[in-house]
Amino acid sequence: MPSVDTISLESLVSLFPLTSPIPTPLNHSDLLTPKDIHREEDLIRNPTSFRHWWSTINAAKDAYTTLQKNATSPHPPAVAALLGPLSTPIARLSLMRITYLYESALVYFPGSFKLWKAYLQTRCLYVLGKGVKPKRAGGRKKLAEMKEALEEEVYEEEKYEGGLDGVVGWQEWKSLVATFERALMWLPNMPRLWLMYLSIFSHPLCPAPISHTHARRTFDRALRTLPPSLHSRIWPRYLRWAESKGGMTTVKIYRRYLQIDPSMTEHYAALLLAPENPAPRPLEAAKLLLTLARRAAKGEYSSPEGKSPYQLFGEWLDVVEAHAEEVGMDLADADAARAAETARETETAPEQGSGDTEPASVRGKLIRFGGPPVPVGTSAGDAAYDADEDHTSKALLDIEKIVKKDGLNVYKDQMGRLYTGLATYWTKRGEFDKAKSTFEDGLANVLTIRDFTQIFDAYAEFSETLISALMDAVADEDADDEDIAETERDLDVRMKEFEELMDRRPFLVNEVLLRRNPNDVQEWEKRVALYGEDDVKVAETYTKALSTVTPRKATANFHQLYVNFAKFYEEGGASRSAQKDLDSARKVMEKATKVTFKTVEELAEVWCEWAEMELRHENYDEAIRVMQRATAIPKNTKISYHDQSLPVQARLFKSLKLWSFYVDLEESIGTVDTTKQVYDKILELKIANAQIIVNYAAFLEENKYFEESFKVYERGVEVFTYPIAFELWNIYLAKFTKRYGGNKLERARDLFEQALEKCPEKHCKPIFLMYAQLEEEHGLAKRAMDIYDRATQVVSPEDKFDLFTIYIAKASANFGLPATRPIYERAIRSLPDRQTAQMCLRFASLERKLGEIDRARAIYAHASQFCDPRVDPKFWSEWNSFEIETGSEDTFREMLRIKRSVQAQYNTEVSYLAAASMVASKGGAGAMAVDEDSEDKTADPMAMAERDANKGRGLAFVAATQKPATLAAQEEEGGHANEDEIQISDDEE
Amino acid sequence: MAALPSLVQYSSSEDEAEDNVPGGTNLSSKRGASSSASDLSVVHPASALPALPVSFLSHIPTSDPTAHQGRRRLQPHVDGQFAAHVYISVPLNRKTFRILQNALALAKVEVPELYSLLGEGEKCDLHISLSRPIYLRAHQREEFKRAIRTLASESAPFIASFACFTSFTNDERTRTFLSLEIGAGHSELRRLSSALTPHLNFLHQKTYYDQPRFHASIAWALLHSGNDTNGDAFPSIPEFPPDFVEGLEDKMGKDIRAVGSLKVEEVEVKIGKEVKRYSLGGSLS
Repeated sequence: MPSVDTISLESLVSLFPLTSPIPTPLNHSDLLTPKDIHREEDLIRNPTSFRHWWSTINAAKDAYTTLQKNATSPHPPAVAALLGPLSTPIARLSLMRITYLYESALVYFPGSFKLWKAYLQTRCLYVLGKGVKPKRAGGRKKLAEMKEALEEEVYEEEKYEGGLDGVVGWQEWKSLVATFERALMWLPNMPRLWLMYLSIFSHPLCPAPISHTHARRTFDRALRTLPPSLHSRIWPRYLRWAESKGGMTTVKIYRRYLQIDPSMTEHYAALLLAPENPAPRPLEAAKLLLTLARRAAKGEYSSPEGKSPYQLFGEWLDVVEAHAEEVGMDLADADAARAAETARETETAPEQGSGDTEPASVRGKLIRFGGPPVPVGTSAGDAAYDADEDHTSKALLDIEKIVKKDGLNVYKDQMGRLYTGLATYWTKRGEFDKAKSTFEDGLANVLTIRDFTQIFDAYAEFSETLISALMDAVADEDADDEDIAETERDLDVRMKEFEELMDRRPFLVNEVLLRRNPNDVQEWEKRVALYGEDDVKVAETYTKALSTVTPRKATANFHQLYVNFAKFYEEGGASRSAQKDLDSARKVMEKATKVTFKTVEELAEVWCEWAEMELRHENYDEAIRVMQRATAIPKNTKISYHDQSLPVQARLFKSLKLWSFYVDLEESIGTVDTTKQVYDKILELKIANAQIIVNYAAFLEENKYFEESFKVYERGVEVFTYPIAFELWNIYLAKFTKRYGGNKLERARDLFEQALEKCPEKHCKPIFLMYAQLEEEHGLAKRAMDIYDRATQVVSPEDKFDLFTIYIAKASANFGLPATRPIYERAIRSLPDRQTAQMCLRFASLERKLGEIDRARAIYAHASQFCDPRVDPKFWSEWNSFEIETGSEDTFREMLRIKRSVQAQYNTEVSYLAAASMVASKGGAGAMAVDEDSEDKTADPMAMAERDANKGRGLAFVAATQKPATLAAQEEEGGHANEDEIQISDDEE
Repeated sequence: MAALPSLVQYSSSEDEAEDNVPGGTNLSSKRGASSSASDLSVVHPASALPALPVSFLSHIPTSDPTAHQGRRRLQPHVDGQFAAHVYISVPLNRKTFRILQNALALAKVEVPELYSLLGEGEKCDLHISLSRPIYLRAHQREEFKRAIRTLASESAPFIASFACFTSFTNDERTRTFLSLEIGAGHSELRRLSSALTPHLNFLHQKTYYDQPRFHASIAWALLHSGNDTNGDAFPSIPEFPPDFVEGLEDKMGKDIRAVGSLKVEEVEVKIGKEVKRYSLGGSLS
């Protein structure tokens, strides 16, 4: 044993190997102690008993472990670290003893996995140091995806405490490897052993001769030896090891792995481009990503990281942008390649063409249906190999072709990103003109504003950068004059282009929108507006718009385009300074009238605009002729205006808008006769509305054709039903009475009777009033009264009160006050309660005026039943003052008695009270509602009480929110109410 | 064309261009010549708008004056529009026909440019116009015919007679006519003509002259026009020579008047190429 002061590498190296040759008591005297003789004898006696060997070995191991625990290294700590677990003599001795025991056992049990495993683990422990495995929950996933397996591998990697240095303990390492080899010779199919073996290669202290080529070969041997089903246990470790080695090793191993499992391609591509990778391989990465993107697009590949085909393609584009020079062909090569391609295609085109036209079933060829259908026989070989997808090939990529084929043709919604990417690529390569044309291409093809903005912004930025770079070049003092002059020229051109680009922006945006929807009328109009006063362009735009837009699909107001185009000619261009060309305007209109617009209104609008145009130029007859053309009535007038299946032209003649315009024209330009003819045609077609009738009549009246105008009204009221007829009658009757007054009284009466015949009750009132007025002025007062009488019976309840009031007023004016009594009586009978009370008050005051005090009192008494003292204090105060002025003590008491009883009666009607308080709070508006609600009530207070109680019951059960209100009302009147009365009302139910 | 070798190399479109640009200032003021749509928008002087694209032009049959003895179309063809004319047809008996032929021969001596309106053979008739040429839309034809029929049925047949020779020139001053003015029957004709007026008003067409002179034309001649390119092809006259009509009247007037009465029993209306006859109803007054 060397002393502390004479430590040298040799002295340390000379300690090893300990286990080679295998230590036996023959060459190592201290392997056995006298204590062990008993054990050895025992083993010799039972050499084939595995249990003996096992327990012996374990006992020895335990004993040595305790021995080692107490031992301390004689070396300084630095040296001890080099020696690792074998730094103490006792440890070294233990290793030899244990090795001896295991080897002896293996002589008898060379095929025992248990023994080998324990042996190798023990040996590893002495060389590698103590391994620490991170603890993890749950079992390992069997047949996991490689990505997960690799992650687990990284996570589970053993950390070693200590370990024998590879240089110092080289011999010992070698001996360990040799033991593994021996073990594998006996048990080649045990993956556990292989894994244990392979794990030593990733030990940090593993000596270089083992950890490189030997390791690789061992991995390969493992793969070769183990059945493929077990490869999944080897590969994660192998890949992990390959990654740690880097360089071509990584590339080769990964390429091999990708052949059996492409799911790691993305990972591999990332490795190739990793910033820590000293020799990145962008071309290979780009090709891999492209392959993936293509296969993903075809549905043959799904990314383990959940990336979409577009994302993969985007990644490819990123790589291309970042490594433009290494990945892509330059412009000339790309052009040449494409030329060659087209040449090849034209060569093969004829046969392919004939193949395409032939139906699939003719010769019974097989056709693949999974994916794009491709005939089996032809060009299958061509498709199999593509240099762009072969990551081992060194051929550069034709980026533009690929972007177009795999990007733009597939991801139409991502044009912005793709075009910018392509342009960036060209910029990176210094092909500025190409980049510019790419941008222009993009602007001319994108379909959405988002893409457009993306490209445009990139384009602007590109131009700015270029300009600033050129400016720097101009400012550069070192350059010679000729260069500067040229750069300046270049700069000027670029500046001009940039400005033009900025000016073009609105047009480009407009183009994008039009590409997206060529039928967008509004966008076309915007385009016209953008051209301002450039007549040639404006005319061109209109022409293009009108030939592009499909009328059926156009957005609203398509006709406006035609009209505006015609106006353009009519007014002499956009600036109105050019020659006016009315003839062309007419031709445009002519054409417009033949367009199958979506709606008849549009077509009608075109005709009207045409006529208006003629009017503007004072061609009045022409305007009318235009309208005559427009309103030509076909033979079959049964066509429905709303029948969408017919072209608008066929339905045009039923357009009221058109006819109204026509008739207006005739009124102002034509003669009375012609106008009449037009009106008559409208009526014949049965498209007239009430307004037309009124207009027609008014027109005739203006021209003194009174009788005819009345006839028109009659036609109108014949055609229309109430309520429209009401308006017509109203005007008709007013006009008639105004015209003839009392001259044709019988006819007027007849008309009124006709009007009233079918008139619904709610429209009767004005007619009755007019009728009565006529009779008053020109007929007999008695008849007028009869009419009022009829009216009060017929009109709707809400009008009754008014009518009675008028009736009474008229009656008193004509026949004196007493004559109104029967009317009052009828009113009280037929009016709803609340209004009855009001009417009673008036009646009472009338009676009082006539001196009939008793009658008045009786009326008050009658009315009192409708008047809740709380709701109608006015009534009670009036009666009160009446009694004070005219009554006696008895009558006053009687009134008070009635008041009390009424009050009590209302108190019992819980729900009514609630309603009344609501009425009180709402004021007049609510009062009406209550009136309506009780309109058909009989005068019988008991019946009313019953109904009200019913209502209350109903309410109490219906809505929870109503309940508190009712309860509150109950509580509020608690003081007045008494139990008995409530009881009675309940009994009545 | 073969007779005019100097004109042969001009294509017709160049002719048109020449017409479009009076004064020949187009050469100096061409602009936008680089316009891509040069076929759509013919280059015009600054004040003109670009021409309408072809798609807007409906097919209009060109009318070539050479096929019509130099007559020019006064109203351009419009699709769906029909020229119509209301007139009374006067059948000529052999004697009258011969008288008229003599008169015409006499007239041709003095004005050889005259074209005869008398048909070949003897089955010819003269027309007495009751209206100007009017233009109807397709859908108005039936209505118009109906109107003429009622008109005819409400009027009685009557007797007319020729009064004298006279000449008329059309409103556009492109042609002049040698006619026979109607003497007897003028009032009936006038009534017929004015009965048409409301219909014409409704159609917003020109009504007949306020002071109509009913006549039957027997020949016509072209008048000189301002820019007459066919001047050589078709002979024209500035107007009838003075005393021409008077001379004719002196020589033949008596014969014409001797023809006697012509029975008018039908009204004819020609719409497009269709001719309808409506016999006058009522009894001979």
